[in-house]
Amino acid sequence: MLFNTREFLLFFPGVVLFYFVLPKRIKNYWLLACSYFFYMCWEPVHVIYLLFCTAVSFLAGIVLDKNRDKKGNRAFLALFVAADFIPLFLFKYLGFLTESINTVLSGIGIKTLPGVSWLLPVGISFYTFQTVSYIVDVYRKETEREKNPFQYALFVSFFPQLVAGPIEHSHDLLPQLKKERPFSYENFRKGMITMAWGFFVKMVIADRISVIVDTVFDDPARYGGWFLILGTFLFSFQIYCDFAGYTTIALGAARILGINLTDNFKAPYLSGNVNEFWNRWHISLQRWFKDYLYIPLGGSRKGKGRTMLNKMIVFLVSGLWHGAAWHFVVWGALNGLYQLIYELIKPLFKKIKKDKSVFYVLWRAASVCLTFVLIAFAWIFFRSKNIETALEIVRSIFTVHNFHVLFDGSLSELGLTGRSLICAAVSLLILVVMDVMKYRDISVGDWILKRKTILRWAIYIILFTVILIFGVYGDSPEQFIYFVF
Amino acid sequence: MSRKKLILKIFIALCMVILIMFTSSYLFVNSIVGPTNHKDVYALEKNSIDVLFVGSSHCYCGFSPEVFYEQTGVKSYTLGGSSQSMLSCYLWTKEFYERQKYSTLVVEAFSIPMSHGDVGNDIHTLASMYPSKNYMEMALTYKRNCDKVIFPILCVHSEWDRIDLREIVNAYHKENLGYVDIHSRAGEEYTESVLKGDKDADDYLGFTYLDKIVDFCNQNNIRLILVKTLIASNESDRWDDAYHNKVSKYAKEKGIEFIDFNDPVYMEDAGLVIAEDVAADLRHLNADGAYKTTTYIGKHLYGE
Repeated sequence: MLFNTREFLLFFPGVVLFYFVLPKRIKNYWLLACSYFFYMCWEPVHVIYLLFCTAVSFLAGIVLDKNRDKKGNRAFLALFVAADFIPLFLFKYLGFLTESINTVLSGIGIKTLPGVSWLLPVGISFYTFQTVSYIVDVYRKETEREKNPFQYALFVSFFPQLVAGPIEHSHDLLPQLKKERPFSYENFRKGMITMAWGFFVKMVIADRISVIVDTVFDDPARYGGWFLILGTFLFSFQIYCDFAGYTTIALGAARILGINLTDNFKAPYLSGNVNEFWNRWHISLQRWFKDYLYIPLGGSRKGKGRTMLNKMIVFLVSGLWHGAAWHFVVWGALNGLYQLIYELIKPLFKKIKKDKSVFYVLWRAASVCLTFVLIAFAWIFFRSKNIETALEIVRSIFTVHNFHVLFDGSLSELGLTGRSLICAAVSLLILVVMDVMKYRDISVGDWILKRKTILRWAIYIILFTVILIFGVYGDSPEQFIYFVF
Repeated sequence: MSRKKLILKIFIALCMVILIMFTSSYLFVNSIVGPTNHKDVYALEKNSIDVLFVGSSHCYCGFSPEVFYEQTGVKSYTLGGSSQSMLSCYLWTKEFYERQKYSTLVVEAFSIPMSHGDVGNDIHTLASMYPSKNYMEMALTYKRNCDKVIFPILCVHSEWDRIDLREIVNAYHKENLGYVDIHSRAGEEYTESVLKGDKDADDYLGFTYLDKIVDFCNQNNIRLILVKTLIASNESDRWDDAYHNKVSKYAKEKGIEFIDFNDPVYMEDAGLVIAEDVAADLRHLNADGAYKTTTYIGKHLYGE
């Protein structure tokens, strides 16, 4: 069940209504049942893998807690983490692995292995990481093991964040789930306006510009040069709006139910360097990699060379996490490379004084633009079907000089009408303004909620009407990009 | 906040949502630039129409009530809609009859293969219907899509860049009685009829609703004629032998007249020439073709 469908618009109010009407002791059972129903709307049989990960990690909690401070606990940890990763490996990486081995084998003339291609269960990468974090946290004594299996199952399957995160730490989410959460009008209002903003970002911006992005990236040989540059920049916004839109809706939905989830995005495209970008983009995943990969690898404690290597490993794994294909690995490697270069020139950045001088403003603007261009360039490898296509796009960007297409009406060939292009441009402008506010830690939602009733309701009505009319939805709504990871 | 106040606020919010959806639906349906004229039905003088033409765009480009009146002195109305399905034709046939006790119904047969049970095709025409038992029947027929029937904005919102608010004002001042004229021509290279062979077609959902139209006409003593206007193209989604044979067979079984102007006999009788009388889009009749077709139907119904 996608958030941007009428099924969800019927499902969610039903969940909320019964949640607050039901007696306290069965509220979480209701949420658990709804979460499983939500998940089973995709492919009912895939619930087996969700149950498997839940059972393995719950059992791991018991065993690791029982053997706390005993020898061999580390082996249990490795065993349970490996077991937890089994479904993810089978569904996401086995096919990729056999395909890669087959490429090598066929190259040297040896008989290849049979190919594997299974339908990837929705959200498997997210809930696997969340359950692994619980196992490791129990081992590290950073969280108490959960004794109630139903409570734990809800932690794994809580529907707003089940299929595309945010990936939550058990010590953040479990205590909230256990706490009594009576109806709060404040939470309801904040949740509603957060969800509305999420729907705007996804349906009005992401799904509108996706038309241009798909047109350009599906036929890069036809749309060369500036078409591809435009497509690349727009894809940067599309993936941001798509994923941030999803997360915002998830945050709002959870807020209505009295749960605070991690905000995954904090105006990432206003970052002044690549390091800052990754502190503002998909925050819960970056935190996961930091806590469970980067720091165990030694983090920055073992010298500059090792720090750089660790960062590169993290980004390569991050690339693989996003997709089992070589172009995702290249995307990760490219971002890792940016990090290494940034590590080398970081002292230069530190010398620049943060003040209100013209020089600093220009420096800041230039660094934001450069960071955006670098990140957008890497997205080419993310969006392309394979490395060959990505390289073809890069070649075209640097060799085809057709700047005029931006002004001679050629843009109307890309699938959007003139009015729709204006709509996309205005929406993106609104997004930038909102992001500037967010970057400065100004909550527009809070600002709206403090206004007088008439103004507040006028904003609600305008937002609803804009989504209703300008939103892209229908019988086959656009998927969320991160659902396939 | 007290529970009463909360419920009141939620109630007001829901009312506003419904109000916005109704208002925007009304504005969209009535202001998207298009040739459908279903909303005009309610502005007609009661019982002033004797012949009704229904069907898709092939219908509204094919039958001119003005020409029909010139030729026969009988008033008619063309109730065609872009890609209008037989379900929509059926419901509008009944809705129209509530106000106009017409004696003859001409159904343009292209709507039969056009019917896929998809509300998207029909929403522009159906949304113009006033609340009535036919409207209810439509909502119940579309079950899964009844939200789109009740709030057409959910279906037509993506056409926001085609709205022209002047259409709302102009809506009831159209004098063409549903006919849309085209002045281009197919061209000399189009000479052959689309009917060439003897293949057969699958069953269409459209026949289900054509059955209902037949029953309705029998109950109310309405003369029913199936007509297919002349076309020039022979693409699979248009009209060909398969469609022709299927409809011919159906018409024979039900004892209904069927005139397919793609049949060389009818084409010659009506004086139709593909190159001259079909529009450049190869699907619709141009003004000359509509004149000849309407004249032929007029003579067929009321004699010389």
